[in-house]
Amino acid sequence: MHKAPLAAAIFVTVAFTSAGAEDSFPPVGNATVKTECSACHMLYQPQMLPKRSWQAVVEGLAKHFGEDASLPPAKTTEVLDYLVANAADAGRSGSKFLRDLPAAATPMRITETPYWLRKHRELRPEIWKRTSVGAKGNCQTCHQGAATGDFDEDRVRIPK
Amino acid sequence: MRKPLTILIALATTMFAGATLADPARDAILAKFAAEAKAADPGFTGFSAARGGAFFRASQTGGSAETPSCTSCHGAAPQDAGKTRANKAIAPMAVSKTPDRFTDSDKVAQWFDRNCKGVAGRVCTPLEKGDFITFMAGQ
Repeated sequence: MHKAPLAAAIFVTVAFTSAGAEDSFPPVGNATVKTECSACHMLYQPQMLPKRSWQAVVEGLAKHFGEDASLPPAKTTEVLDYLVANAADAGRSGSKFLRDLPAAATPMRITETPYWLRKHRELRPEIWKRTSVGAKGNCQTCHQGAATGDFDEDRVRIPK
Repeated sequence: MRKPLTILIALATTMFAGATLADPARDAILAKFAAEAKAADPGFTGFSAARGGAFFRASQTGGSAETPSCTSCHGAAPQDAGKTRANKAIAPMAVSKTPDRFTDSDKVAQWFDRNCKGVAGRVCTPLEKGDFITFMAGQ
């Protein structure tokens, strides 16, 4: 009599938790990171790259993908500390972005990670050339909730 | 400590009256650049919106090949939104459209520092920065 609701509750909890762990990221909780790292591009989640990548990215801000994105020393430290503390290899479990990533590799782009490449391999190369898509780094073009950490595959809409 | 600043602000306000949309924070930033411009050149007589507009539109060498001008990202019309190389919108530079432009001195310093290097391959002079803000405040 009471078994069905309990089973349903467990099912809902498990389904919800696994979907959350798989496709969503916590919101960025540092105001400086939010402002500075989203001034020119989407606010990328720190869980998508390992600590060593964030160190290299922040050290190279003066030549950041062709732009001078340097920050004053205090902000540089604050941003790096937050990114490292929330990196893919921070914490106990580790993010799925570590999957198949060689220990010697220091990817400078999220789109270079084996996990990202695997998740996008079925897309035709033509898609990335569309002006509506712009570039691989414009996550929110297809993942509309990307800026708030929602990457659920069911909500992907690829523009024409 | 307070008095020279007050005098500077008063001086700046007089100098730029009519040319800019008034904002105490922006006036203070302009006053600081005016003092620096005066220190660099005793013949400095004030900022020029016309010079600032020409600087905004000018094609520079020495910076990144992809961004030879302020307009490369900000667009030709200060009243319109620009676009970063990563495809993100930039709020219009014109103060009439984005009223809080040039009111945060740290932000002003940070972005002039980056973008002057990216566009011109060097830091901008106090005169160029003051002219630029004066131009945008009148747009």
